[in-house]
Amino acid sequence: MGTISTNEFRKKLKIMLDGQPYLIIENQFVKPGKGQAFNRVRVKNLLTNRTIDRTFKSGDTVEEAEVPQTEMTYLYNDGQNWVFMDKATMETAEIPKDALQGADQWLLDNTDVQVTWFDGKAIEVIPPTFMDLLIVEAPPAVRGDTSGNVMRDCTLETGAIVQIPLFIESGMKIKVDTRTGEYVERAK
Amino acid sequence: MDMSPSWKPCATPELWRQRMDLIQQIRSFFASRSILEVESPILSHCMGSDPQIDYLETRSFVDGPVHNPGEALYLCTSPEFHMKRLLAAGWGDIWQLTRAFRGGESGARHNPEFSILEWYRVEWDWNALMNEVAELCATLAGNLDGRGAQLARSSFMRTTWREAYVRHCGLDPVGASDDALLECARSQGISLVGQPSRQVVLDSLMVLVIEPRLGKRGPEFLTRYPAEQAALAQVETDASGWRWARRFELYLDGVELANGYQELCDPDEQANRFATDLEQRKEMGKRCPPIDESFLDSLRHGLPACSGVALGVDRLVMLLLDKESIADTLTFPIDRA
Repeated sequence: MGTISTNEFRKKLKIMLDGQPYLIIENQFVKPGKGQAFNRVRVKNLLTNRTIDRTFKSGDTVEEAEVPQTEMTYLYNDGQNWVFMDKATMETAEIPKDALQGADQWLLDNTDVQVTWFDGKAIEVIPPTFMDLLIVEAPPAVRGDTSGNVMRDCTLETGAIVQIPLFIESGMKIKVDTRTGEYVERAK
Repeated sequence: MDMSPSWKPCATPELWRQRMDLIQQIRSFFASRSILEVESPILSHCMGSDPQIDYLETRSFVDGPVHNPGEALYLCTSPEFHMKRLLAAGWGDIWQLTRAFRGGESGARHNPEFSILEWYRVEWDWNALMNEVAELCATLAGNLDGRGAQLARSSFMRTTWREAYVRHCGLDPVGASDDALLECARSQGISLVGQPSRQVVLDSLMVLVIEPRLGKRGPEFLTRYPAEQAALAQVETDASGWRWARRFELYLDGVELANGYQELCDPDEQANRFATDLEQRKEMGKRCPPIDESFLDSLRHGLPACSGVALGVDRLVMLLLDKESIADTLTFPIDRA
């Protein structure tokens, strides 16, 4: 990984600021008629998820963040550490619950995930965007109230709690968007 | 921003028709005032010296005496020097609509290749020229009914560069200490990376705090720039000894549209400014293309007293037609070019 100029800034680029990796969310180029040009960026700290704004003089350089991603398969957990196997090297790695940032609620045995690493530590675990999961517990729907979109909470086999519409019941499989935690449709 | 497949043009045929209509009106505007339309080279041996502009250089693929073998040619960043040579040759009032090129400038308000409208009025001072710029804006706004057009038709105002800082940042940019400026930038949410110079902090306040608030009630001219930002304008000294330039910029709805000068005619002062600029370019580690000696020669021959202005046509079209980005007014902006 080398240095990168503001001229190459774009969304989704990962850069180092104050020793921490950041993701560029927005990049705005501004320049007065005669004067210094600037890149005003909105960046998200990949360790804390906090979003900040920074203003660079155009032409300034920063270090690109070294945050490799690996394809891994979820194996099991002991309540503190979640164990994954690298699909390429077959090596296993333990990732502490904190680093999962809630991703554990979507994991079934053998679920394929994408793990982002920084400085030898996992900083993000991304499950598949859409997952078909079984409803293990859902209160009965209150019939009669058919006005609008009445949703109710249900519990999935992975432990996640998702809102479902009236016609979905316990024992059914549903497709869920793991980015938003929202019900998409009844699984086919 | 248009998310259509990248082979497709950004502008729609309907928008393009409106753009061409506006350009036709620009021609009529100058024709009705008997100002001569001119053309000057886009490709040139020499370049300007502006420390903040990155020049685009071209080289021939062909070996041999296409021009002087191996010699770089430059894409014009504005037709200013050539037009002043025409003025020095006695052509009188002239105008031009052409393409200009600036490296590294890309965004919602920038494209490395853009349309520039530039004109000169012999014997006019900058106030007269500002009036004419406002008349052009109002004329082009015509009967268009969008927000931008309504603003362009509204009565215009003049604000000095210093007043703008006082009004929008709460400090006098001439008297304020470096620390006060930096603190002001911080309080405005500008988090500058590294150790910015005074000029960088001033520029950041201008472009991130002041500019977005200019021209919100009608065309607003920013005037009396500090001498360090005179570019090619005449410089005056006020009673307190502060040196300011007869340079103006036009803003409409937070967007910088035009830059004009009561033109510097003194060849020695011009040569000094080139030298200062080039010194600064070297300090910044930037290359220095050859300076246009023919332009200096024309000043030595004698540039008539005049005022001139350059206006960004893509931005004006964007504003008059209520578009968010200049990409919407172009067939193929640089990402698709």
